[in-house]
Amino acid sequence: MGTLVKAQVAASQLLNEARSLLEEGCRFQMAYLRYMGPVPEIVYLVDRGPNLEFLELTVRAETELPSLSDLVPLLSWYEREIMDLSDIIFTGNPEPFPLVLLEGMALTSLPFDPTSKEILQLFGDTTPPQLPEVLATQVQDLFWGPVRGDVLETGEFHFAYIGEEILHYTPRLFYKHRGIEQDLQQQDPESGVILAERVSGVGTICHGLAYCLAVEDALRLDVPRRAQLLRVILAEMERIYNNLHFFSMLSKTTTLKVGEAFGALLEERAKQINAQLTGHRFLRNVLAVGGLRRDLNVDILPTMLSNLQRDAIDYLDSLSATQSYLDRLIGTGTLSADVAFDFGATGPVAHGSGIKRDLRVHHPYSMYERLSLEIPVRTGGDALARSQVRGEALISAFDLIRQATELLEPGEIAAASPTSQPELADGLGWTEGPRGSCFYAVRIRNGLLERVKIKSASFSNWKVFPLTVHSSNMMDYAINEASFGLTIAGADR
Amino acid sequence: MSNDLILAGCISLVVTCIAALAKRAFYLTEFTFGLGIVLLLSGAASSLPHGTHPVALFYSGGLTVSFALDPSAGWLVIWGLVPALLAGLTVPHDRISQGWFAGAALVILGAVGVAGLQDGISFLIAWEVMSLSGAYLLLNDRRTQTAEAGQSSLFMLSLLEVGSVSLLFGVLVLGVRDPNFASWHTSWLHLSSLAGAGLGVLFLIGFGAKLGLLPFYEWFPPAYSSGSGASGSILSGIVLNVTWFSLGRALLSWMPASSTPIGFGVLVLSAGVISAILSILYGFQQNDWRKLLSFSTAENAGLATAALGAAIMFRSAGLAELSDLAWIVGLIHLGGHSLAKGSLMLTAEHLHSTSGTYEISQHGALSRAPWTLGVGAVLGGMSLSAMPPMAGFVSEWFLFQTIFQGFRLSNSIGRVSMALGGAGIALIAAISLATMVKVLGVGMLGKHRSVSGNLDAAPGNQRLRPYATLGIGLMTLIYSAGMTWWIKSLSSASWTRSPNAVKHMVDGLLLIPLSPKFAFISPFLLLVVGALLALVPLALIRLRPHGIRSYRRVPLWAQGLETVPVESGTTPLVFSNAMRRFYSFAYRSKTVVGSDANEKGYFIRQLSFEYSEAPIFGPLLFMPIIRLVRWASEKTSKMQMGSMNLYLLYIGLVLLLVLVIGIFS
Amino acid sequence: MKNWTLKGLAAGKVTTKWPASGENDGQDKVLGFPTFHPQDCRPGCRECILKCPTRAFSTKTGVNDEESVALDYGRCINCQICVASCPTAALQSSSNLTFASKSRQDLVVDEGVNSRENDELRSRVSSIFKGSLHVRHVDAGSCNGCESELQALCNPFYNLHRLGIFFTPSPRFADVLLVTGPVVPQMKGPLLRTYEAMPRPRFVIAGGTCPISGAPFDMGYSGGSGLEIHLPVDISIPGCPPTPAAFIHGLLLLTDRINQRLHGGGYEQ
Repeated sequence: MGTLVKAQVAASQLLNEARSLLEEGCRFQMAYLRYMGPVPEIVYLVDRGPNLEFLELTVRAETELPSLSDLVPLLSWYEREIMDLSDIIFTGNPEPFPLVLLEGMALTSLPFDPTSKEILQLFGDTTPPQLPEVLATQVQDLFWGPVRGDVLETGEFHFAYIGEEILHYTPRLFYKHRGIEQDLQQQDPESGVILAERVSGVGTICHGLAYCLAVEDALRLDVPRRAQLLRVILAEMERIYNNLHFFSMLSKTTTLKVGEAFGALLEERAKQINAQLTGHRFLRNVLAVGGLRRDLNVDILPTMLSNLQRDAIDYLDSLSATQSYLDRLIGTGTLSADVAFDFGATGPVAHGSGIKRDLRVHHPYSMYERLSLEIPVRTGGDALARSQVRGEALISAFDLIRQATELLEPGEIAAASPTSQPELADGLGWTEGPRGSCFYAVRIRNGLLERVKIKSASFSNWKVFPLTVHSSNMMDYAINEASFGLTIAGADR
Repeated sequence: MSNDLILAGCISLVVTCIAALAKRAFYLTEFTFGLGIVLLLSGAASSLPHGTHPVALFYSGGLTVSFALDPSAGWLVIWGLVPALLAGLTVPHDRISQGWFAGAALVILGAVGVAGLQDGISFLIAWEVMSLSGAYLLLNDRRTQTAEAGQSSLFMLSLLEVGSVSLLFGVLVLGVRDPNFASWHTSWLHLSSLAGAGLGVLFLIGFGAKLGLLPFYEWFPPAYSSGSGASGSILSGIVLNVTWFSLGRALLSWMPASSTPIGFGVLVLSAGVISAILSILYGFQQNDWRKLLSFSTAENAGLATAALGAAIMFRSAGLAELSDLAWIVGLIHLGGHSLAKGSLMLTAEHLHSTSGTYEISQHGALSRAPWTLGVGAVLGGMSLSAMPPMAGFVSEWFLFQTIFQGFRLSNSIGRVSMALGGAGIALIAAISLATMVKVLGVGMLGKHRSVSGNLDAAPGNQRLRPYATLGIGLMTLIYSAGMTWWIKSLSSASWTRSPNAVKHMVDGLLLIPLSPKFAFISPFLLLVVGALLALVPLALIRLRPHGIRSYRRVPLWAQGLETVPVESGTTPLVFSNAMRRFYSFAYRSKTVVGSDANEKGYFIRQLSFEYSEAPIFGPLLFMPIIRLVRWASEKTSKMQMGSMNLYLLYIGLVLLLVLVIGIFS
Repeated sequence: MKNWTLKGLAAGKVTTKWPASGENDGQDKVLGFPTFHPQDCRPGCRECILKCPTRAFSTKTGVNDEESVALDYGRCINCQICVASCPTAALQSSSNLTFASKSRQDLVVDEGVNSRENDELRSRVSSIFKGSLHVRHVDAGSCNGCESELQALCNPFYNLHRLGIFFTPSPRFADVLLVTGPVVPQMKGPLLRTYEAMPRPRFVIAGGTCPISGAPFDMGYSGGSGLEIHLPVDISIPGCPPTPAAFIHGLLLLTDRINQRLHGGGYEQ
């Protein structure tokens, strides 16, 4: 089965097409810029429904295109990113100011344009960001970052603040933008996995696997069964340590010091198990296009994991028996299902707001269809709901590893090299990581990567997060942020 | 001697009025004003500790109008006059009209009369002079009149008249036979207990209107904010002090202990504590120096009234020495308050003349003011927030110690209300600390940012103001550090005239609440030890090879940004909003946030918001009255149609009525 | 209601004694940097140079015109690709991870070069902080892997505080600037401003391979080529990401509380 159906639409028909797709219950995933020869085109990736191929809607980009942001709010950031990195303008974009390249920065030429001959450089120094105009006195622009306290990722946050109450919140990310999509251009697809694994350190498998799946899709590679199941084990190992980290951070923000230490210790144990299994605490350097680089000895897992699972369940039970912890989660950062859908919230954030959607179930990959998996869902939309679905995802990860281990049989771990290479091949790969859906769209021309688009889970969730912060309390902010479990590296790329 | 000095001072103030109205040279007016106050000050100071002998001023209609300054009154006049003197010497000539001096002089004349006149009729006249010239003072506090200022003066006057009417009733009841105060204690004894208590309530309302007891504190912010800091330091200095003295005299000297139910003491205590709580709660939310300070004045008047309430309760329980203690605590408190408030009022005035606004906001007031102003303001603020070793600390500590002795009462209602009063005062102390942190922290810190034009160069006599601020600030420190000595001049200030209370408040260098076993403080020793301890870090700095220069200095860090955003300064609302939300049941606060976004509420481009706190008595008490009066005037307007015949008819009807009453009565 | 205090006490002590005693540094089975013995190379073989994704290998022509291969651990992200591609035993996997070095030169395996030069004065100054070291971390474009491991330093297993090392919120009271990430263009300003706000004496640690050389992000319009061109680096801790033990080793090395194990690319066990 293929992964993509393609359709072309004229710029003038774009709005109508988008409207009818929405009415059919389709769901936009992402939009990106791609060049077909010298001609730029915008690609919209649309999810048509469970187990159906994704729709790749392309529109030839003229200098001006209608913005779909009012219709499909989640596209606003994609449109702004395209505007930053090209000279295309989306008319009617509600926030037509810089996103990926910050205010004060400038490019010498356009990153994806094959006709550009100039040396490509990003230069300048960042200047203050565009914030909503405040038509009132007494409002403080409380800023936090870019370099924040403790060991945290870089990000600049602005609160329109009147003491305890936050009127409006603007996160300014992309300080860490590394231009990885462009770094991957003209690379050999096999070595691209090294970079893909390093897009987000704590999402090594989620990114690396989505990349491998995309390239395998483009090159029509059949990954052996054993490699697929081992990949499931790796992906679920990643879910385990990330979710343990999540609960440690949530305990920290609810000032549950011992709870934080317990979570951090469990996370450390999970990372040490990762190292025992793969030689790397973040599970790096195992994935390869076509399978795995080396076979893994999973015999060590059952004992280690059952101990860890027992302690993790005990930890979660202790947390949910702690009144002070629950009190601070209930009603904090409530996200409605409508807003979650409009802004494309994904993973536990969507599950906590009642959106039952998980790529492992609805678009299964890597033999997830052979495993039994229940999507945890809550309808509260608050920090408690998000933490509960995380807790269930954590426990089900142990179960999935057990199921995958049982199905495991000795065998090949890498696909045979393809006999012939097409001149041009498109592929799409996706994974449901600990934070939600991750997409990689690749185009390979003559055996080299021509365009790679990365959509990380946090890119979607960062966009929706501010809507839960407007008109909330400063005291709840840290808890709310921890309950979203966001990373910046993946979003910034 | 004292009386002569006071007389000379009064004459000098009268000359001030004439000079001011003649609109001669500013300096002449200012000189006579200053001279008058200095004379009054020395007169009052030399009257202590026994007060002045009564002198008969003149005869009129069988009444000898005489003047005598009670030691309590003398004490309060001294500390009330100090800020008035400094305010007069530093008042900005370019802002006020000369009439201000006439108003100020009349206010002080009235206040001296209120403090010293010994009969009901002349007292009432002095009282009205003080009230009306207060309004005159505020109206002349600017070069051009505004409707708003006139309105706030009217609001003040109308509330004060409510008080005056109840005072009039009180004076009529007691002075119907003999207007001399000397006989009023006996007249009160003849009243029934209910009438006696009712009379006490009349005096509480009458003087409370001026002290800013609830609901009357609501005239404070509009009145103070229609004037300068100089007017403010007169209103919250001498005027407040003599009013409190008059209330105390009525309730402790005229009102007999035997006909004072303990419940009346509870009423006074709770009126004091509740008005102090409400006024400091509202004061904390103010964004204007003068409004905030005016609420703080009402708060301090409330605290002093609470002390008075305690004095009444102790007295009716037969605990004379404790009652004297409470009275003296009130004296100490208001004395210190006048000084501290004076320093902050002068600070507010200076900030206005250098930045053009009374708004509390971070525009670098401290960074461009001379250090003298900063130190003076901090000392004043420390005193108002009762931080050791300042004046406010001494008096509030004494107030707590007095209230704690509520357990000596046998009456359980008295005990409970004392305990609750103590809790209330603790809350007040905490909020007033936060208020002072707000006014000094938000109002004086921040980056240099001119709010309206470049007004940095202060003209003429205003260069004196920072020194005046420092001086008066230092006085709050000297006031407390030397309290073990100053307090001796209060030895006959209590109404029992017994020196025991004061004797038992001092033990060597320690201040004690009657018994050294209960508690003690020593601001003097604290100051000495503090100064000695400060030598250690100073020496450590000095001993380094290059002194303070050798410390590691690095540029400011804006979390990685090039500069700290200008808008990131703490605003007054940011500072006080947490309390505003927590006490929203009292403030009935409102916050309305508006935003300009797309139809689903996403992508916000503009933000606006409004916030307010509803005053308690304005809409609930005063507005209905105003509406009633308007309604009545509307109804009666039909009777005035401009027809001469109609008016003649009214007159005829009235004459007829008089005739009928005359015949049948 | 859960009594967390009791639960914590019941859990007992879990902190490792390493590096004071014992070998339990939590890095069991982690694949470290490959060992490289150029003398075992097959002449003319360029397999590792071609395969290495971060161009950590380079050739050098010696005095006698013979070509030799050098390995720069400052570019190595221990991805193990070279080990798999090496036809001889010149490159081998190892468990050696604590590669923190005071000099960039020490990270290079290059026949004939063995530098032990050390700035004695700086060393003396930095050892003042033996008892207490305050670290300000700046993320200059990292993948969050290094942050994850730095956060792990404060977990009960490593408990960095037992060594007197603390992370501070402000550079104004920090002794060390610990930088992760390749220093991407948009982070250059914030990074330098943070360094400027540190009082002297101040030290800089490049935490991870990215800040040492920029690899693997030293390309494209928004890559970076490491810290060295912006700031004087005192300690380089290679690794992708360095394990918590490697970070601890680097932090202790700065204050001379532990010995450097890598000299001229050679690792002392």
